[in-house]
Amino acid sequence: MAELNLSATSRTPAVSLSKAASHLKIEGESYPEDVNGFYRPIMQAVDHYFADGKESLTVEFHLIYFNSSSARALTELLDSLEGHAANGASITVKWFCDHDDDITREFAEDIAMDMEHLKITIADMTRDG
Amino acid sequence: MAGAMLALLGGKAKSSQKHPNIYTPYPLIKDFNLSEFLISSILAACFICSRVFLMEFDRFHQFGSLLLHDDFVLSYSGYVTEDILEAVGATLRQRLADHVDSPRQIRNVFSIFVELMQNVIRYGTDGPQPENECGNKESFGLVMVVQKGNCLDIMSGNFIAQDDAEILRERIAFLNQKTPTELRSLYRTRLRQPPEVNSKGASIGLIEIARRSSIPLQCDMRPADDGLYFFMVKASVQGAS
Repeated sequence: MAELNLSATSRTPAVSLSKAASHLKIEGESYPEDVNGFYRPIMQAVDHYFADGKESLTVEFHLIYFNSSSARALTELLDSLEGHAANGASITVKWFCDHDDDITREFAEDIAMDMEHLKITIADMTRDG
Repeated sequence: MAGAMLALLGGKAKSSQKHPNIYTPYPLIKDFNLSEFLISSILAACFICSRVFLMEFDRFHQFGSLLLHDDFVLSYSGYVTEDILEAVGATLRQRLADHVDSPRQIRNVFSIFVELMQNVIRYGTDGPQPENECGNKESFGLVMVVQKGNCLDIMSGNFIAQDDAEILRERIAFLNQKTPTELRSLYRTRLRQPPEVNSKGASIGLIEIARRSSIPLQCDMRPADDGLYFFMVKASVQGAS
């Protein structure tokens, strides 16, 4: 299955992966009870997406909060995307951070430094309300 | 889950008001410190673990007046599961919004809370709590959030073996020597390492707590029954200056 549409829960983000739009969006909060159980299917869907012959993907992360085990899983997901990009896929990643959340910004900056083939930008998250 | 007591207590204590009817055997202590936390936490632990749920009015009064001294945001003592983490976390968020304005401060306090609670879930299976039907013990611990002027203090406590307590103390001391840049680098390295329970380095959760705390992490421990120690950790998050 190369497409995904998961609704957000109180502890997990909304996830949508669309072949038609060539877009992956992860939005909300992430501190799931079973981190691997949540993120593994997302990585598998991304693998299927590229296995089906898609060559480009834009990825957006709008995470208000994520815990340390989610950070680990997100790194694994990004490493997997980096692997696809190294194989020739054109992948852009936009990471939205709250302007006063320096720790999340540092996470995104470190990811950007680690990745050679992903095109990563960091943008300000607009706060609702 | 008999014996799990949800003690969600909070609300603003008006420190300028005197309560003439409250008898306190201790002098009014303005600063909340680890021994106070210990007193209230041991009281809470005793209440929960005793099979007979009789709370004499004297003890209840002592317990209550301790809570009225300081600006308690939330306290929880009892079994700690993922469901409880979620429920207490949701309550904490509401309480934090009542107490402070800074979204950054709220975010950091909530992050520390989640990491501390998840540590209790993982490592808090020792202690005086009774075994369940399968002969296992559910994780048990205490968490408390207190407002101190501009700062929010977060404390947690659970029972662990002496060896584990020493390891944890060393890890905290290790992290407290690091600059924010070094902590960032340590965190970045740990992200790609598998989470090993008995690894020598500090866990990624502990590094996260250290990064989000405005002060170096404080910890202390007290001997408990069966060779266990009650291990307490304190972090603090400053508001906007």
